[in-house]
Amino acid sequence: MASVALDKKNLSKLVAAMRKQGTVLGPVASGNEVVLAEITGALVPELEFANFKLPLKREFFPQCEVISRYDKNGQVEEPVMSGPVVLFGVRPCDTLSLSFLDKVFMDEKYKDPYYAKRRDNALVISLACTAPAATCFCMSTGGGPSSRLGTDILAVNLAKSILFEPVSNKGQTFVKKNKSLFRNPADAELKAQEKQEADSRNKMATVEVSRAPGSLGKKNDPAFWEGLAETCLSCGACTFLCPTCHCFDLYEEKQEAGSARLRVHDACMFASFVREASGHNPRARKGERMRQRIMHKFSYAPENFKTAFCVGCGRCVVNCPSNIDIRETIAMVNA
Amino acid sequence: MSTNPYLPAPARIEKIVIENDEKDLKTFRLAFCNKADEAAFGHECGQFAMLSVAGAGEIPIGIASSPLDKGYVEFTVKRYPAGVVTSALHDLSEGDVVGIRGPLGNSFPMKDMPGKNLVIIGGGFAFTTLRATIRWLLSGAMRGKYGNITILYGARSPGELLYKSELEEWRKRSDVTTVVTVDKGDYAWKGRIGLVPVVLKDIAPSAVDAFCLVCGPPIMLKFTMPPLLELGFAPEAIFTSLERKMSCGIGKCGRCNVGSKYVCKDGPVFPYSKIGEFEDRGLA
Repeated sequence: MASVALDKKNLSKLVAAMRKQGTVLGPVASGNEVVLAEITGALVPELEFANFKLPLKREFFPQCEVISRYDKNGQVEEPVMSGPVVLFGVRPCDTLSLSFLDKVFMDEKYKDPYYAKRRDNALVISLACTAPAATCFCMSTGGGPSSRLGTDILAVNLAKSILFEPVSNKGQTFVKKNKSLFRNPADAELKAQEKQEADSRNKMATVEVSRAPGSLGKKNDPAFWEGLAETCLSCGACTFLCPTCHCFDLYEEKQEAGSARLRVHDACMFASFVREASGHNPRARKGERMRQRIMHKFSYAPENFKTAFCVGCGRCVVNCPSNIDIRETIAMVNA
Repeated sequence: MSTNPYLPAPARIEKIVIENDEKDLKTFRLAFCNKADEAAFGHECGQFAMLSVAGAGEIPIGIASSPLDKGYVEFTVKRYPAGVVTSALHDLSEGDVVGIRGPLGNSFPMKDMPGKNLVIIGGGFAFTTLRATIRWLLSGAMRGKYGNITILYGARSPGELLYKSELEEWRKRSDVTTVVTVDKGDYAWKGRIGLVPVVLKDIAPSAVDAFCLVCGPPIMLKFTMPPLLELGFAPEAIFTSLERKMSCGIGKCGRCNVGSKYVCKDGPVFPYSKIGEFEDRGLA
């Protein structure tokens, strides 16, 4: 389906239309940041920002959630799931991560009901990148500033209008349902979109992610990994902020009328991650854990899912307290 | 019955057997509270399940009963002082309810071995899924379908041997060779004394037309593989079972991988050829 255009003065009408579909989350200014939050009242979504600090995975795979409860007789009860939601203005690198996480959580044999339900409930309207950050490298990870992977509708922010290109059936249905809001785009608008896309692409740095799986096959020297991990504080910031990291722990919490089983984000960089009750730890050394993280992303994921589990969003680069830079890591692996 | 793979099925503890002198190994006989859960369980030899205790948590444990044992499932659990769930399980009594989620993982490739000779080697409390396999093999329905069966089982001391009465039964049977050994005997022990790899060299089972299933602590496996290879077993004909800390058991939580394989989903059973590959590259 071809793109449609919305004049920016009608943006609040579009928000109202989205609200009919479900709770609307979008870019909202908060202090010096733009965060993904509910668009309430007369609030209009921000359109000029780089990206949210927190990754989109949290909307589908929350940092902490109750997955079941049970009383002393062992009777289990599934929690009530949240309702329909529209995610507006998320970036293409983050929707790319959804296409990766779908491979993990929606596989045929064991479909994750919590993730799947949230995916079903969500309409994702991504916003093409106009100003990639210096740390962005999505062109090297199978994405791009206007990548359509993992989204339902791709929106493009132009000077006076926004173009909407339906990508999935869900996206088409939404555009059709609200066609009175939209008009056909002018040629000049389509040209402007093309130019914007090309400009954004040209600004994107290149990282040799595609060579990493082959290079990693030869990086068996523990000293290489210990060296890489030397400055790592094992704080977990890289994994919690990574849109594709999906390691979790299930744990039990005693409650008044029984207990609850919770699912919480976990990180392979923590020493306790694979430590067993016997005390045995298959990855006792920090270098071994660093190797696991890098191998999982750039070797095991390509082997198991035909794609590296990195979207090139640069969050880990920006937020690592000891300046470990995954772009440099990949270069060292490839060297 | 739920299609949600995270929800355990409730099961009642029918019987608890204290297996060893240390009293830190107990076998729990569990019966599903709901018939539908029992019917849906149907495991194969070598698989595991997640066992849960409300308020404590969930752990992966190999299934110790045979798929042909109907009406119950058995698990032998070692209690670790630092193990929240193993300790909670050991504190339970007959009649208490636990959760079972499974069966999970792959199984010993018994279907690929009809008519073959089998050498089954176990050490310590890693003998549980092998016991399930032996019970299955020695049943009236299955015994005729396989060739010679040799069992070699070792533990640190006589008091640490699991399933003592069954070992005695198997020893009395003429259609299976059962060799039991201990690292250190005691005043009453009249059987073999010696480490599993040493006894293996001594009894030297033939590798002709044979497969080997071997489970034990890492140190035992390390020293058992070379004599097996010397006896002529190909790395592809030796199967072992790996253990890792797990949370989900279904290949999502990212915890139990060795290299690109998840022990929960792609294992726990791997041919030694694959294990060798992991070891050569130092993958954990």
